Amino acid sequence: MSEQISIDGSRTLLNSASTKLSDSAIRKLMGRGFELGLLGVALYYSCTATSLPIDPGAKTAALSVIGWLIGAEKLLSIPLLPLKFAMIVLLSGWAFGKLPRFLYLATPVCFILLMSCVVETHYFTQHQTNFCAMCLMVIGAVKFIGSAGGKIISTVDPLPRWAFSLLLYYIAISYTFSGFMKIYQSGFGWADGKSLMMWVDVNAISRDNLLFESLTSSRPLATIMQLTTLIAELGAFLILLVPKARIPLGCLLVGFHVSVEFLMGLGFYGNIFIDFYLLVVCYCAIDYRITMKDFWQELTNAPVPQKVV
Amino acid sequence: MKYFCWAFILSVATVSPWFNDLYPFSTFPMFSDNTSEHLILEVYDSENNSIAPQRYGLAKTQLANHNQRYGYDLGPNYFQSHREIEPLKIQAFLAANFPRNKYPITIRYRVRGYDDSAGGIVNVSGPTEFVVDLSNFDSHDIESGMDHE
Repeated sequence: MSEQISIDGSRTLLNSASTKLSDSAIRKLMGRGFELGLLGVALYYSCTATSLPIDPGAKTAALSVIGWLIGAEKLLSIPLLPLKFAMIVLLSGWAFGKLPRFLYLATPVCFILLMSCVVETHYFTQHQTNFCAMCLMVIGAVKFIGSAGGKIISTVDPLPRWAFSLLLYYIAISYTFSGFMKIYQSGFGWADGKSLMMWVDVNAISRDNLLFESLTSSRPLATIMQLTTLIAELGAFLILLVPKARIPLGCLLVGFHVSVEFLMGLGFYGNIFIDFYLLVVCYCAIDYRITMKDFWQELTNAPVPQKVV
Repeated sequence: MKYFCWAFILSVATVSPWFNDLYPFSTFPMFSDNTSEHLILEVYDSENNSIAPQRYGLAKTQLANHNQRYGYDLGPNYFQSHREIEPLKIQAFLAANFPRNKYPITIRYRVRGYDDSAGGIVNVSGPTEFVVDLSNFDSHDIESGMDHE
């Protein structure tokens, strides 16, 4: 009898250990997958970043936080090439896990600096790299601050749940803001189909495809697509409150971005990757089904960095 | 770590709506307007090379963002005081604001818009083309032209 208990007990322990191991492995894999994808997107944006030739004397206002803090004129004097080179080195080091701890914080700072230089040379702000910059900042901060005090190499692996929930919070807030901006500026009449038809007609990169022809010839279809976008954006805050809403909202938002890319080629690849990975893949694969309550608990119990003795 | 979390949460929730667009914060206001007509204006030199319309103050802000934030003084713009394109008024505007541009330029434009009867986007007006030559321009021409109108 005692042997039986012992065997069962060890089996239970073994099962529990293997479950824990596989869960941890999956979490590690998902965290690593997100990091690598994000680094790939950041590398693409860094390599393709270009500035416009402008007269620095014509600058009247800052379009970035860094420009606002140090002065946009100073930003304009920074050459892009060294920043691009630094980004390639930092991102490669991060991808291979060979960065000293403080450089995990330097990477998003360098990326935001590079993109701020780009933004400041344009006449108006660009939104393609905002998501990527914010995600790099969160993950970089997790690796820098969350790592045990005194360690030179970051040891945060897998990424903690609250880091993902912080990213979900950013996604939810951003899309909800965007939905409100549409209502604020144009009212619910925004989704009348006409404006979408107009944007597609004026900005299309390719006219020989079914989507372009369908959208520009069918106002009901354009209206449905605009309504769907508006509902998805306004309802994006549900990402935080109702975990089950993440997959449908993720699919809608990714579908919206993909169709915009297909029609107009605006370069929101970072948004596509981040939305798809965090809202669809992560929900399916791991236990990041965090509700607002969990998020609050995780946040209030977030680890405090140890003091170096 | 808590401090970082709270700083991040509060900054995203407050900086974005306060400044609208201050990279990397944004409320993502693009495509938030509801336009049903769009002016497509192109400027060419005498050898048919395209010139950016903003170099002649002829760029019209109409693309999907009412509250665009600009980092630059964009200079004089024809559309600040005019709604329609009229060759004489454009000539007067260019003579007043870009007097050094003595080379003739060709302006081509058309207005795309939604047409209920066609059920799609069509040319509401144009394409139209005219040449502006400031080397032969006399400000009296404008006054007589305006009088004629």
